[in-house]
Amino acid sequence: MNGTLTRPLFAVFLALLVLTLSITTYTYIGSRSHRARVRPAPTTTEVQRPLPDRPISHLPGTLYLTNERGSLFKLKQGVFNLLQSEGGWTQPSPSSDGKRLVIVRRSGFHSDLYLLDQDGQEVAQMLGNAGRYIDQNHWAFYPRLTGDGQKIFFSYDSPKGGYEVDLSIWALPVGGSISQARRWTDGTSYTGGDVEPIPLGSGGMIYTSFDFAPDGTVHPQIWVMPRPFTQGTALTSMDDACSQPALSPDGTRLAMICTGGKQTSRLVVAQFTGSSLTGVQVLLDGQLVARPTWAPDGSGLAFLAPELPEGLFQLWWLSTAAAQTPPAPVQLTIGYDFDATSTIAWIG
Amino acid sequence: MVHGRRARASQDRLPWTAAILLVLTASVLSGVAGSFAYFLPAAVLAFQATGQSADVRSTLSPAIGNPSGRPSPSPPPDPGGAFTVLLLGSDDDDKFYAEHVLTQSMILVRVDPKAKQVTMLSIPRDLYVPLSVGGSGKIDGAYSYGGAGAAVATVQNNFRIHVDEWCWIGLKGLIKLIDEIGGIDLVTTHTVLDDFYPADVGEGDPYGYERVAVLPGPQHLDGTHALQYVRSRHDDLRSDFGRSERQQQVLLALRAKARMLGPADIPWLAQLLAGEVKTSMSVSRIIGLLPVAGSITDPAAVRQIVLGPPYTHGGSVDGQSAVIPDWGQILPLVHQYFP
Repeated sequence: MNGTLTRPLFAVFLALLVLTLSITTYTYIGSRSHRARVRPAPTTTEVQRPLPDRPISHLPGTLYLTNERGSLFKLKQGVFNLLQSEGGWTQPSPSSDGKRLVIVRRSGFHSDLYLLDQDGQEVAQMLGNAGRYIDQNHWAFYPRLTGDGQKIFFSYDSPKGGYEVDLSIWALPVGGSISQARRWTDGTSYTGGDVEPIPLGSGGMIYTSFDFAPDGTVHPQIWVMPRPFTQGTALTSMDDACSQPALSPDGTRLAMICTGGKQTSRLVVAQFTGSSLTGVQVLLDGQLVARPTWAPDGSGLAFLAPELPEGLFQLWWLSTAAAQTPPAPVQLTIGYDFDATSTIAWIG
Repeated sequence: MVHGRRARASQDRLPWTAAILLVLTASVLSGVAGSFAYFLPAAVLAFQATGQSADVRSTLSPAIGNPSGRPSPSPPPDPGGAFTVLLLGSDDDDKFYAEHVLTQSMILVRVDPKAKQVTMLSIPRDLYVPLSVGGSGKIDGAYSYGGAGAAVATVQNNFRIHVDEWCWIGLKGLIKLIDEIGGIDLVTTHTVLDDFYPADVGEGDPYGYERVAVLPGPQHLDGTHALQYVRSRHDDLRSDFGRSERQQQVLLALRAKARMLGPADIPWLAQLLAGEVKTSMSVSRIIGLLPVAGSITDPAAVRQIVLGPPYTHGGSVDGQSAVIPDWGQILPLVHQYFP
């Protein structure tokens, strides 16, 4: 036996080796493909746990977020709960007492406004925009309740005609019909129009308007407007291309994102005087930051950004307490597919 | 008898050295067989779609363009050297015969791997030019009349440049590609609303319309919504020029995703895009270009050009709206970036 093997035994061994190595090689190459490494988005009913070593459970209050398939989630004390499943839900916004959410429900060719309670149960449909013919449908986006809960500011694609469809800001009395709504702005033609209104305690509003730069490109700009159809004041320059304004709970700071017309975004915070911005501070740069949202106690910002180095948009947290040193953002979730075009509602 | 049994037993045994040699050889062959099994089925499809030849009848001098009638693919450019690709995108729904589609999108891309620079120049689809197949017309018709060769030759003749490679993709291919790489991340520069967006990608009436709304800001887009973003032009004052900028944004987002791809991705990509992509580039060249996409990480290294005014102006030819070129302005610009 010394120094030799029996041939039949060796033949069997060799056949098994060839089979195993061939399959292993095939599987290994397949595992190296990008497709094999893409993490599938969770099913809507698969409510994932947040990262265990992240301070998500320390976030104060309750957050409402939507994902790319139109599901509504509630995050409280570190636990996500699915409130509405894949129904076109997007852009939740809380009432000042935190007991209601006004939210968009998007269907094929139109979007409606709904009022939900804090558990995501439907209270009322506020606005229905389905039309009999395709061009009789309307879009309603970015709803925001006023502090007294009497009106909803939102973007609405009326008037429109032919190829020209642009959003303007409207204010709708809660419980009223669209005929009782009042138009506040006239979105610039062929730009997509005006979006993201924030009603102010003074009776005015902050909003994002899109307009043409001198070179013909379209840029967003944040404005403050005291009354309907008044001139208003630009809070940011057209070159900075800022949008997605978020006012701090005490109304003194404005967070926003600015792209400068590029394919990355900066997270910027500034003092808001009521008619201008001062002390502009860039908190993050060179990323795809979206939807900054103030914590109810003003201690920091939640926002959405892709999972690094690539991936779907996740929830992040950035403390603004240590204002002198650039704070480090913390990724709070993995595996979700949050809708970065949707606002985050955060109540205390 | 005892001696005979010993002899047979000895014949049934294998020396260790021979056994080790056989194991090593079998291991190598197993690896090759596994790789072969992985790449073969899709390689057939990949080779069908890539390395395609097209009859490029250019009127340029050989020093600038292909000599008349020389088929592409052109001789491989210096590996690692700069090269120019003409990207062609078409509606390929039921409204058109498969080989006679218009090119809704024509983008010249100059890649300089050494300098890590990329220049993208969008050619307006309605640009009114002499066509390589004869006569004049909108440049989007060149592909329809004479395939990729006519499109390449028309671009070469008018822009006085040499095109090294071309790549054509259909709308459905773009959707599939973006979906299969997990979507793309980008900043949509403004709200895109369209009440007359062609409903021709699905199963329905290819002449029907639908409403679309792509909201502004940083976001993750799947294939269908990315297509809506790059294809809609009705609610854009700059029409095709605005759309061209959006197409370039999506191309850059795709390039960012290409950084994640490697040779192991070629088979499934080839299977996925069978019939939806044609290119003059060989499989080996595509594999060679993947690291180039990864090496250009600085957004400032990507120059984006759209031929709006003053390079072109709107006009009418034979009662049809068209984009009229000002070659005195266009050619110096083009030759600056596409030497």
